[in-house]
Amino acid sequence: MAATEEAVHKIVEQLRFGLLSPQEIRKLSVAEIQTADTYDEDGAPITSGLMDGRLGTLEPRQRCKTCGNTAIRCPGHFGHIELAVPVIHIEFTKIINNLLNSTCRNCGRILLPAERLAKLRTRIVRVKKMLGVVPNELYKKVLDEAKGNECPYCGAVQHKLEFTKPTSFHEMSEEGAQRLTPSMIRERLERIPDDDLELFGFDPKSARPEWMILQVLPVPPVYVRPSITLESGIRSEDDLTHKLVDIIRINQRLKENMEAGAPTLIIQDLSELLQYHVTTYFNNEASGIPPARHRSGRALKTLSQRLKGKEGRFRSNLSGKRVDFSARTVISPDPNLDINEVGVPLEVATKLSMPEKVTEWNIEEMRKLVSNGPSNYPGALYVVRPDGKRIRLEFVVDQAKVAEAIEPGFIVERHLRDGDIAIFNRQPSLHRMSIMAHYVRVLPYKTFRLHLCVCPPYNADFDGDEMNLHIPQSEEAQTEARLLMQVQDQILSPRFGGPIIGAIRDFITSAYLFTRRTTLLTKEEVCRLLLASGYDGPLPEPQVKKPEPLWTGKQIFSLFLPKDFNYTLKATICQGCTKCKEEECEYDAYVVIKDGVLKAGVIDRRSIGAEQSESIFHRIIKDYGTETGREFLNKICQLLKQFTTMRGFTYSHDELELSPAARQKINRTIQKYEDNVAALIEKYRKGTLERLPGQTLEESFEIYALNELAHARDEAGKIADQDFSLENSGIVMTRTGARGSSLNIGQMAACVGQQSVRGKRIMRGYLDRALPHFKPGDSSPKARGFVHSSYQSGLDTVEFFFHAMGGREGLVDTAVRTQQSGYMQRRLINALEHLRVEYDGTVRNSTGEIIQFVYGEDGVDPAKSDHGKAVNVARLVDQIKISVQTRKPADQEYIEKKLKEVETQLTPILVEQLKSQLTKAELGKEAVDQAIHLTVENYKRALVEPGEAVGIVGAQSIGEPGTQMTLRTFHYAGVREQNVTLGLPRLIEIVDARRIPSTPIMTIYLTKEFSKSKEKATEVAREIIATTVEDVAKSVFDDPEKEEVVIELNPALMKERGVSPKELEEALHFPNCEVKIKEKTVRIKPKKAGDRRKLIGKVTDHLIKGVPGIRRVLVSEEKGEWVIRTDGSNLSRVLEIENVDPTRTTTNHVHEIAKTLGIEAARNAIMKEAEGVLEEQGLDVDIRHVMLVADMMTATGEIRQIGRHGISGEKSSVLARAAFEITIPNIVDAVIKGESDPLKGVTENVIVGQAIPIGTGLVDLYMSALVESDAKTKKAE
Amino acid sequence: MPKKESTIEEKKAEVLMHLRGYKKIDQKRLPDGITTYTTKTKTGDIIIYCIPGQGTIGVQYINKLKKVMKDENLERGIIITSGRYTQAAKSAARKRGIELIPRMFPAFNLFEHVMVPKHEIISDEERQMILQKYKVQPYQLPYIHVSDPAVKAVGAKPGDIVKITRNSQTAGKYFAYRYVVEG
Repeated sequence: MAATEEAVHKIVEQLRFGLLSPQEIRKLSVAEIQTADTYDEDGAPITSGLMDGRLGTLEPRQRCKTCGNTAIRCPGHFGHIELAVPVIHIEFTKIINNLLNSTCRNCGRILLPAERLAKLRTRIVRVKKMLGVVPNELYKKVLDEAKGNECPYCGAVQHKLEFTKPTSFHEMSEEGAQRLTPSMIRERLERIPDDDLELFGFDPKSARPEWMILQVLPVPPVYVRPSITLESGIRSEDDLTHKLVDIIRINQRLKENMEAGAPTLIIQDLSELLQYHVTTYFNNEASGIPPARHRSGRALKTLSQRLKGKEGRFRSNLSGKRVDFSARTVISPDPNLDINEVGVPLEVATKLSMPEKVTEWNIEEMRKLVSNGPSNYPGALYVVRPDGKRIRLEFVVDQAKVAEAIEPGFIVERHLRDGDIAIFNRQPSLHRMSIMAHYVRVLPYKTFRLHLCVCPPYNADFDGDEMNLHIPQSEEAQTEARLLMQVQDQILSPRFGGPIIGAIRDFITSAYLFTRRTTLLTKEEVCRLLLASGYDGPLPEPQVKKPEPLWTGKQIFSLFLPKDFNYTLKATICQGCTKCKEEECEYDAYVVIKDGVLKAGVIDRRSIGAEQSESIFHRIIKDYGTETGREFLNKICQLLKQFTTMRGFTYSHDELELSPAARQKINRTIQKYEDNVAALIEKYRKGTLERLPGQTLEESFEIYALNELAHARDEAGKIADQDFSLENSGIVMTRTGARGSSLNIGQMAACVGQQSVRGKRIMRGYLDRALPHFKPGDSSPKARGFVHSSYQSGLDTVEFFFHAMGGREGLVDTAVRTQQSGYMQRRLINALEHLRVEYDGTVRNSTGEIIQFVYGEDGVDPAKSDHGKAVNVARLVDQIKISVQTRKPADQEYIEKKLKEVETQLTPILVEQLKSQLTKAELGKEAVDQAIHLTVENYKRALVEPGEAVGIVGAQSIGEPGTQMTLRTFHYAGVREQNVTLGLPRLIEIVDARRIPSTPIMTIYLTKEFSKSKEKATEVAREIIATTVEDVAKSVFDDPEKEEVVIELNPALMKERGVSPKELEEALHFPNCEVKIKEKTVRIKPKKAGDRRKLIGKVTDHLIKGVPGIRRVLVSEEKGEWVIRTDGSNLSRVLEIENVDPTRTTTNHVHEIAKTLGIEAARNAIMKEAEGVLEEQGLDVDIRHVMLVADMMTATGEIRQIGRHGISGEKSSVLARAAFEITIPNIVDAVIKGESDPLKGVTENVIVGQAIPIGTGLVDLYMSALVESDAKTKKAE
Repeated sequence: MPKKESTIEEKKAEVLMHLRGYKKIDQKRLPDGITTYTTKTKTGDIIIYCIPGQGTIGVQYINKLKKVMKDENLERGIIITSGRYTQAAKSAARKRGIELIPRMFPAFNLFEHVMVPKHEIISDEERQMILQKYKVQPYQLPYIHVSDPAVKAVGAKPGDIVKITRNSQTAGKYFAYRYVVEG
């Protein structure tokens, strides 16, 4: 392949869009198509028929009549149809309508006076100079403005135009409606002068408006619409050919009729029929017309449908393609592999090939492979001669002869063998670690095999998952795969700057069992373990010498740690005691490694697990490199695998059996809480239950009940969890973080707990009850889905049913979530894909507009960072302290002087950290120098490289965790009574830049004096909450006798809301009404008698006091001060309220922040909100990714959505926009403007099949020409 | 309506003068409740008109201010109010060199808000330096609208570049630049 591939000698630099004029169509055409038939009886194409040989040929061995090439090399040639009458192109109707409405029907000028036009022209020039481009809105404004009854130029009276979909125009003159035929429209459009068109945003050179009316229809070459021969030998034509047949038929009939001088009515009917066929030929889904159908009733797929949507040309064939040299099969695990290996079945290895150049040194080997042929394993599939001729060995009779003939310079496409590089991928490819390079290991059987530690990045399991394998063919591709994509180079995830690859499941269990204090191993066992893990050093001194030598697991584990490694951390099994006993920990949870020896603590998830930052594994990679990291992980995995094999590990049903005492305790606990619920029911029935603010009594009861039952399960689970010892396998797994949680243990052993649907107890089903086994209205735990049993004891029928209901919701939830997060990911990728780091460190889009001046504000690549930090200063100083002997600590002055020297090379934060750490550590001068030097070095090493696709990485890092988020929208924020949208829906809301968040909430801080006490805070809260008449009235009703609206006030409510009668009097004013206030009633009499019902509505919603939009307020204490949280948001007005601290008060309504505090504050708000959501979900995402999204969203000074109405819709590339969404309108728009696609972004280059200008694709050869000013200065020198 | 304490609009005026570095020369309260300030700036004196209440501001106010400006021989004027402006008022103001402060404009120094970083207009030299450093046309920088409260606060005009000093979570301190555009 590599040799036959022609060298790239031309590059597409630009793509221009425009309309074809009739002349051009005729010029491009090789044949006029006049006959509606395709083939004659012999199956030969009819001349000037739709399959005319001049358009190209479909037969494999025939030659094209135009270019003389065979089917493979002939590009195809257009023909044309001369239409009998002009026809409107359906996709341009809207534009035609706009043009007709804004120009004179007589002279074609814009319906605006000359001065105005001149002004608009200068404005366009000015805006273009200022912004570089002219925004669409400006052109739209011209269109909207140009309206009038009389032409300012020729004085012609203008008539109203009526446009009815799909293609008819009527002019409403005094005589009545008159139809405008396409030819009349065409004449009018022809009259519009070029200069005027430019004001509409047209480029008259590439798109004259009259060309939007077709006189000649181009006929695409046959390759665009190939006919297929069915098995029965019947030819079946393409949808487009069918449509063209219709067009030609009607066209021909129309022509004949016109020549024969048929009545106008018939001509008109036929014209309309022709219009219909041409319309459906372009777009068979246009509104207002029935779609053209195939004989079978299936709607035809015509031009628009071919391009549009997921299965359309853009997304299905241009942005992504099917490839050769790939394989797909089921995956299965193999712990004996290296983490960067992939097991490839023999069958696959004999089908895929790797090109290898024959040289003097490998010629013998290559001969052997060639003579083995394609079917004997180490063999070859093709031989490529230096002249480019390929020999397929399958068809060669005497392979030995070919083998003899090969010489250096030949290329042998040999079978895959061990050590070849391959690219391994599992869909959905949510982040870059979903595609990694592995080394091939040819193995028997039929599945791909991978090491278990690489399951997390692929998100793979072995329940039937399939994966894809690709073999890079060119040297360049192989090298890139080796240098950039290898598994060990992907261990550190750019999402959070920690290892995403690591030990999982049984490896962790095994590590715990292996390294705990009680594990002692005999010499035989030790040898077996060490042999399995490839250790060839000497045995350490045994821990126990008599009666026989015994080694601890910790000792053996230590053998694999780097010799100068020091680290301490708390293991996953750490109980979080209030006072840590450190090395004396009774659980052995305090891990201490000194000089490469595991002194104390057990190894579990926190130390070697996947997705664990700041673990031992993470530290090894950071300090010793990825290669050492890979070896370490490989070896300990082999070791641990061997250990579990020897020891064995099971979890059985009887291990879930609780002690009778615990069983009893659990029953008592559950009983207690059920009694509590019974008491609540009683209270609810009597009406003595306290209502929660903002909730009805029933809702309050449900919240209370749910709360009690949640406690019941939690406590029962806790009892069970505590009843089991650390010898229990389940407990081992949950505590070490290998699998499961204590909740799972609790559900299995103690009590499954409340089942829920939509976050509530189960109440649906029958009237007032969930199942007919219960009395209507029964609100006891059992009747509403509380499962008392445990999985171990088994569920009864009713419980089982409820459990199934809850279970189904879980399934539905997952399905919905994957869809939503998938779409969010697609939008994020599309919006950010073209961002890259330039050589000057800025982040720019494809047109060179700056998005960030320094990536992530400090220029650090999250993948190279230490869990987000540029340099781990504390650890660095610690390490230096150990290694460098200190005599006399350096003084503060010296440290500061040294820091001053490197200030410009570091970020302010790092300087600050260094200062405090160095002062604390009391290092000597030498050590201080070294620490500062290393910090600078490490910082430089952590910087992003030019060309890095920060946009794509950022989008992936936010999109990928989306799948792991909950869909449960509501969550309590601080206060129990307040619900906030969180999780995936909230994240989508943020990137969508929704105008109004679904739960607007403000956090109002108060001035010093008012934040001290609840009373004072409540005082302010009363000023803030919007109080309407409805809130203080007993009732508002109409008094028909006196023709008045009456408000009956409720003094208690007035007091609660803090409304004084005076305030009320001041507030109650209505236009054209008389207001009389008499103690508890207010009478409003409209001056004019009329509809008082409307007035009632107005009165009830009338604001008496407070801030409009604030529905509820809650005063709560946070961090020692009283703050107000509100339901509803109105930032600008709240900031004006007295005693509110305006400097800290915020809202989650991002648009409001943009309006009142500016775009920079909005940027901060977007970051804060998005980070808050991710954090609440426990997802670790580097702030730089969120920052990039926020910067991109606010780059134009207003908040732009991530999607087609925002960033994606404003991309500079036509192709990229068309490929994302709304394909056709984007192309139409580009056409009339004569837009050209500069092909500087990602999607557009993928579409035209060129290297993308990102990463290694950015590297190019430039000629540096002397800039004039430089040249002058040079001369001066 | 002689009230002792200052109205919201007056507060806004004070904040605005403080932020833009205008020097107050004179403060008057007219009988119809309107407060006027005369201020001294580097580019000439400005009169600020504070109209209290949330009523809609029509052209008549613009004309009134224009008359005052003419009388006092001043080039520029500013109107501050808590109400809306009519379309006619907006276009009239543009013609007459009167700046309208939107009702959303906060009555406190918004740069003191935790979410708002410092904005400042940069000098011509610095502007040249920045454009040179990044080798860009001004329109290739991120934008900020003139209507942005922070821009209003520093009084930047379309075509200016503002420098923003952010408190960065990753770097500690970070400078961003935005190009002021219409809208």
